[in-house]
Amino acid sequence: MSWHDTRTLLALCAAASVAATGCANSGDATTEGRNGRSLGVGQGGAQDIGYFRSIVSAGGVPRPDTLDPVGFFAEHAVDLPPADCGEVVCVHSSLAIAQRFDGANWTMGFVGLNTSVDPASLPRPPVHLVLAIDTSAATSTLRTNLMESVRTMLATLRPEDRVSIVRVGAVADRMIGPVGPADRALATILTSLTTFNDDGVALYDGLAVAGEAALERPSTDALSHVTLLSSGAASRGITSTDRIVALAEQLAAEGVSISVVGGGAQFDDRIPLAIGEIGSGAYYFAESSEDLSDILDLEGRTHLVPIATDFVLRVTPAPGYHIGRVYGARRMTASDTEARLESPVLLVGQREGATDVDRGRRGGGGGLFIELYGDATSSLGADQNAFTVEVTYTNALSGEPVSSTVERRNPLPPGINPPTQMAQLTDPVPTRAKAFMMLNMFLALRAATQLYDEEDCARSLGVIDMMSGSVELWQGTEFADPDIAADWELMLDLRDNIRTQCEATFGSVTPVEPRSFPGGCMMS
Amino acid sequence: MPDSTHRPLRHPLFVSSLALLVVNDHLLKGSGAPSWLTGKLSDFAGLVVAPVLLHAAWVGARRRWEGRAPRGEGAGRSGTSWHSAAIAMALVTLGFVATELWQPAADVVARALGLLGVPSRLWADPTDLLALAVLPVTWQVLRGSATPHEPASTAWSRASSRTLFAMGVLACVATSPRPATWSTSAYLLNGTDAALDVRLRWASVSLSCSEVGTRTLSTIVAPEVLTRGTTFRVAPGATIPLDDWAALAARGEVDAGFGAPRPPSSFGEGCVIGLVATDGLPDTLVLWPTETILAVPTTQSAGELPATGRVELTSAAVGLELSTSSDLRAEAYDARTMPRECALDLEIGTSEAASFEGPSFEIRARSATVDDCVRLDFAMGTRAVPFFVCAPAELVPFDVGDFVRVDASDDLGVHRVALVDADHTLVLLRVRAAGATAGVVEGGVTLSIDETERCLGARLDCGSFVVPHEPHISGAAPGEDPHGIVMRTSPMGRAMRIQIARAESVIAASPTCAEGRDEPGALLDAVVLYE
Repeated sequence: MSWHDTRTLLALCAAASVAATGCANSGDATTEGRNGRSLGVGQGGAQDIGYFRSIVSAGGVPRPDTLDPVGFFAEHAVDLPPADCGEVVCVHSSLAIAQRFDGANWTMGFVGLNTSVDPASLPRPPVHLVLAIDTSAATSTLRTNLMESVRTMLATLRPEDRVSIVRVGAVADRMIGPVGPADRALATILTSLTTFNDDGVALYDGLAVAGEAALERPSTDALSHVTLLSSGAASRGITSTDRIVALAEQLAAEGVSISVVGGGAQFDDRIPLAIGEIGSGAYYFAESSEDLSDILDLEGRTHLVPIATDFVLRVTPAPGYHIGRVYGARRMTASDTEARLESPVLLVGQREGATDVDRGRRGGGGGLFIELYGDATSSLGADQNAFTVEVTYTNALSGEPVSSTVERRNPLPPGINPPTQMAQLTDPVPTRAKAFMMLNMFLALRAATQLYDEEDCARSLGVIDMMSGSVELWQGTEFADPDIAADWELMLDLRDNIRTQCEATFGSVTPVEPRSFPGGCMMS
Repeated sequence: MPDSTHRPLRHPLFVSSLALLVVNDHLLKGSGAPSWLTGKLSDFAGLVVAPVLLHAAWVGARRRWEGRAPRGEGAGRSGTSWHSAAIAMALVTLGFVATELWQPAADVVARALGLLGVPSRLWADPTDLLALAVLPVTWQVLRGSATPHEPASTAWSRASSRTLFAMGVLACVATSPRPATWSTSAYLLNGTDAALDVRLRWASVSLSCSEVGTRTLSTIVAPEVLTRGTTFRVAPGATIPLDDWAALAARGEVDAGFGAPRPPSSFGEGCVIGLVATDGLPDTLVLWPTETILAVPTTQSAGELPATGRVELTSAAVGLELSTSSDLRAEAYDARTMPRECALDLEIGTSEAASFEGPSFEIRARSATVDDCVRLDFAMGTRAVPFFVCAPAELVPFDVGDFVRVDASDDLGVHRVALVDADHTLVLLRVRAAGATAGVVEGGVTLSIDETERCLGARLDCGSFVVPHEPHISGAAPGEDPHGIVMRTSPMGRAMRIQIARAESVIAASPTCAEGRDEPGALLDAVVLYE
């Protein structure tokens, strides 16, 4: 599947990691913290699902925080209805009601966004690309072949594009730019950036200098983009994550997209992730200079076009419901009465050439899941509103303010399970209903790693065993799906690793099904 | 059994140590005696008993190997006994020291004991090295085997040696590394009639305990700050310690064990929040004070349980119920991403002052950044290097052509950066203090944090929980807005323009947050411009 097939998907917040999934390293990762011990766990962080998978392949059990929901969802091809709402952003919702494993009610709302804007139909404006490079020792292994990596990237640009390079050390310094992508001085500068210093990293300064450079557009319609290579460190000057993220948000509001390539020794993902979550660009994790080459190549070919600014999405439960957990966007906040997501900008990607995403995964499964607790004692009957989605934004192409509202009804009374073991789906099209099974697979993987992390081997194994019936039945129907099959393979490998690690320490382990697993039982 | 070689087995000091070992392990432990005391007694007695047993076993085995029964010791044998005594003592001592200093060594020993059918969990505790003081006594006992003056071997002496040897081995094997009491400031009791698997995790934040008050614990604890956990199978009527170090030690996992190293952490001084999870119970946060270390019997039947520091799980109509003693607080954990109750002020700050300290720099350009900071481009030779000042732009007076010097200092919790030109001094202050309030005197004016909270607070992405407070500037005229820029005059007669940019209390501090919000207490940022 080519990039253009995913054109209807918005780069909603960190769902921009669709791109990251496609090119972040998926090779075998060293499992830090093992040090020859029989029980190993991977380093935490959000290096993406590729990293999670690599730890499992190596026989390890990843930390739960290695399993990033946004990255996981992005690996799944989940369709949405056509974007025929007449606006640049279309909102879709659906609902699944099922019985939890413990017999309780599981009501989960899904909200997806797509756009009628075909990025291929938009003119490709000139781009001012600013490369901001953390020159600390932590990133030195990534920069061993920096010139070649960047050369590939520059080759994807057009003569009218512009390039600047910012060095981010204890002070920030624009080394060159804006210049044309064929400017020979770029090579000299890049060569000088393969060295490193250990004076610390003034990340705020670096981002500020890069952002200001990016705003020097070669023409009024030009795109501004910053690609930040970062160890995640912010050790000099203004170090507050809030300050740095606020700067990135302001830059996004000014039309500067920012992609973060994280990596290097002792990578700290917090600030890169926080910037990535703004949604104004992609977030990548690079484990090697080869990874960096691939990522920069992709970055050079991808141009993010704003279609909406000041985007706000609110989900409010209907009477008889309150909101529980939310999944799918890290910046989403939730209370009993509202789930809310704000983003300074929504983008669609133009990409020159086509590329397949990782391991045959089709990608594009971004979406928001909102758990609803229905009050079974309420007097509300069936087919009543369960939740409302309201979005407001400014159309970045026309400048017009837009608002739209979508209601989703529950075919059952609040808190009531379907009459059969089969989940009740308001949108039973398999490629759409799959979103809920995808969530269940994520919840099971996370619960298994979490319970292992708490040394509860019996329940760590038990939660995977609980899923087997559901998965086998799901895959035996018209809902059968290759992504779910791949998830199940991953889960079985994880189970083997958990068993091996646990038995090496505690001896034989008998799986126990946990009663507090937050997932649902889609079909059992 | 050789007589002279095993004479140390009948030495009064050995017999006394053996008796102490037995009494300690089987009577004192579980009787309410402090676990530190019973632990130390075990070490002292063990360092007498173990080398003697090892020596006896070694010599006996060697003689069997040589096929020679003892006929009494001649002078020629004494050298060999000296060597074996010294070797036995050295081996035991080295092993003891290694296991007390290095957890992997303790793990190896525990695993070896496990292979021998003695399931064990050992944990390193350097304070146990105090027991090395008993080694001269051990040597005195062992010297008996090397003495050339040997009485004739008798059936009685051989029998008693064998008996004492067997008793010594049994006593050592029966010594349980599991204490009969937990040393912990809080504990959990399984008050149900079924065994429970109880999972424990801890919030890796330092708490300002007096400020936690009645705030919702879920608001304070972000999921990201919860540590890796551990699981106990808790029998009916059994207890487990809740302090992280005590729980992990009980599991033998301090700095080693299940997965990556996990050193014990003392997250707070005064109180801790932990998460209790078990089937049939919503995940529950528990807040407990840590000032008092309790001796908690490991089972209800082993002694009276303390009335304080107590968490109890009991059966309910559906699932389980958790109750606590009155000095603890517990509430179901709501792990949702909490909306920020109010906007927090951003920190003020500058580029790394240390990189610019020393000479005065000419300003080549001045501009505003998109986030309302000020960028000053300092001339450095032919280059212009940006210096950012994140403070209200109207308080940054410098412009193109001015020469500015940067000074920085840290003193008594006050971080001070000053930008100085011929006419102005701009001071950026960050004040940190324990407790809910902080203050500093600058130019004769007191800048402080008022006790009044502006809202319920906000949980930061980095894990800290912060509550904004009202600012206070001394000498305020009626109606003056303390949030805005206020005017004062310094004792030297210079006009001062002052703004408190941030006044807040860090209730829960995560070490991963930026400076200022990584420690509990009060935090004040202020800008003072002298004109």
